[in-house]
Amino acid sequence: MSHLTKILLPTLFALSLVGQDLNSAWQAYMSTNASIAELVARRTSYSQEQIEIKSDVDELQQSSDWYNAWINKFLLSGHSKRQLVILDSLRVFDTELERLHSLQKSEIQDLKFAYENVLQDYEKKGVIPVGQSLRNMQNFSRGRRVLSYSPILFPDYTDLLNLQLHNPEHRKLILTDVQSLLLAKIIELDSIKNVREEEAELALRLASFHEDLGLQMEADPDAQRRNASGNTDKLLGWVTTEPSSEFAVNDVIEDDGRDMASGLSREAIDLININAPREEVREMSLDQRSGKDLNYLKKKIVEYQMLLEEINQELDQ
Amino acid sequence: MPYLNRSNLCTRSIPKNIWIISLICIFFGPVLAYEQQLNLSAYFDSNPRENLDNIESTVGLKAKGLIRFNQDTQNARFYGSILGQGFLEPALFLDSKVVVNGELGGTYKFISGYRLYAGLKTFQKLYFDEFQRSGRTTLSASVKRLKSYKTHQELGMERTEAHIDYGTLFQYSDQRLFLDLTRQVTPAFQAELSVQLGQVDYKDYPARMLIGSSLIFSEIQNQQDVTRTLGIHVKHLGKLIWGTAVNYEDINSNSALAESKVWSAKLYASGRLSEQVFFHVVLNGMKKYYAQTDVLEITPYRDPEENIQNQLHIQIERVIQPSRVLYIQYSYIKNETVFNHWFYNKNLIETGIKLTL
Repeated sequence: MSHLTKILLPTLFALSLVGQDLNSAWQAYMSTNASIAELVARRTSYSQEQIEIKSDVDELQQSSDWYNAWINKFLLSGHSKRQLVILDSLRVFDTELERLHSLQKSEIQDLKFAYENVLQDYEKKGVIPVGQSLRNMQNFSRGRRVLSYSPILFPDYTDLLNLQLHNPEHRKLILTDVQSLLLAKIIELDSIKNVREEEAELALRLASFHEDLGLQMEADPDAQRRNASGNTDKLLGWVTTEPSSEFAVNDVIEDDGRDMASGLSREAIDLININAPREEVREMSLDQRSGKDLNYLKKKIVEYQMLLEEINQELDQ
Repeated sequence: MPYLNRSNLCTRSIPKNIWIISLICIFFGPVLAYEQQLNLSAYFDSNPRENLDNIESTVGLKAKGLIRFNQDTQNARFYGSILGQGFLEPALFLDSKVVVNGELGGTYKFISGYRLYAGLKTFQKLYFDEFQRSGRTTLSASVKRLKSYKTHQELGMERTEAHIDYGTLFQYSDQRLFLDLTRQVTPAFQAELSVQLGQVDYKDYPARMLIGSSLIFSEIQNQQDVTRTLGIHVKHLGKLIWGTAVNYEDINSNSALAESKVWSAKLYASGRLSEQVFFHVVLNGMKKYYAQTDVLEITPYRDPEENIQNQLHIQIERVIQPSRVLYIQYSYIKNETVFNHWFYNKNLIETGIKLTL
């Protein structure tokens, strides 16, 4: 998901619920964005024409002979004039694009600012817990990023689908964005699932090999001794779909309310999922948060596919 | 296997544990989730008798059958397996043997975040030659704390009864108290620290004392070892699975010749060479520092095949179908014989097929 989408999605979400500031900032940003898109398209068509003219000029110069030289010269001068016009236009476009980009830069700052204000309002009202603001999400120190792994983000988008907006155009905009987001997420999940399946197969092959060795060499204690999960040491943590991981999840569900003891900081929980209910995040095991749990990945793919289906149906109507 | 004095024909029946576990697996297996495996292979062993000299090589056939079941309920899990393995060596027929390994166990979540484990495991080996045999049966129990996603703690104990019957019967019991601390450093990295306190009591095996350069057998004390072990194990998961384990064991004994300190290390790695081809490598190394190095001792209470000191194993597997796997394995083994400080070497090459039925 691009940074732009990360910012725009919650912005759209908040659009219908908050004051005029965010709305106008969003409209200004979109208007500039549209102007940029239009200018870029025009610039591209001029550039294409420029290339075609260059190709024509080369051809004319190569085919020039005593009997057609004067015609070619006439044609070449026509091309030169057109080239000059195009160059002038490109210069104008570039200047305008530069201005719009700089305008957009300031508009996106306004947009962030407006969005943070909205979040602060929510925090004050208790809708969003403190510490979940965009600024806090972005202010992760480099060292911490290196030391701690990044959780994989597979939020629950059901709330977005159930969102009731007065303006149907806004809803359509949101659904279109969520549609492309879900498509990207499904592709991402599918790739992770494939990798995890390969890793699980390798882990099983390794466990089988070590069990054989342990049998040959009965004294090898770690190939034989089972732990409290009923797994041999070789299987521990390698076969993530073992029921043992289910136990771990249940244990923590029961211990809910003691989330700090679970080893997952509040900040990390917030970072994982801005949309999902916090209870759901706490219930996620380490394997789920890191995308190692195959069952979790499969469940998420089905969930996203069903959501996507619903969105497709609504947009087709 | 080493050639010791083999005199009496052993007529003892197969241990009761094996029968119990077999019956449970056979009768209850069909109603539970179970799996069956069959492995067939041929091997070349450069030194099957683990001799220092007069080395004879042989080829052999190996067949392994396994039935395993797992049953899960909301708070509990039960499992069991029975495994039989036969080694047939036509040229050295009397060295052929049968191995049986049985296991029963269960886990129970008795309090939220805590799990109780109990298990029974038995391993028996029977040689064709005069039905010489060895075996061990282990009872274990532990409590595991799973309050955190990242760290687990396990405290438990296990007791093993072992016997070696090569004409003369040697028996010993080994009890250990262990504490394992596991930390999931990242989703791909796991570190484990383990501490063990153990005691080994030998039956009818007098402690030996050194008086000057003379070896004296105690008339009142059997050998008793007290062991302290510290181990660190780090493993990495992912497309290449690898790990390393280092252990230190301090053995204090009332028998002067058994006093020693042991450093051991294990390195392993497994990965894919292509979509269907896997490789596995295991390297074991051990350095044993005896307190008394001048005296040669024979240790008949140990099955040398169970002794892991210096070993290299490399296996390449080719998955034909998920239920059919071809493999080839090379092993190099350099272990102590039943004599202290005396090492034998052997090379093993094995190739075969693993079938899941």
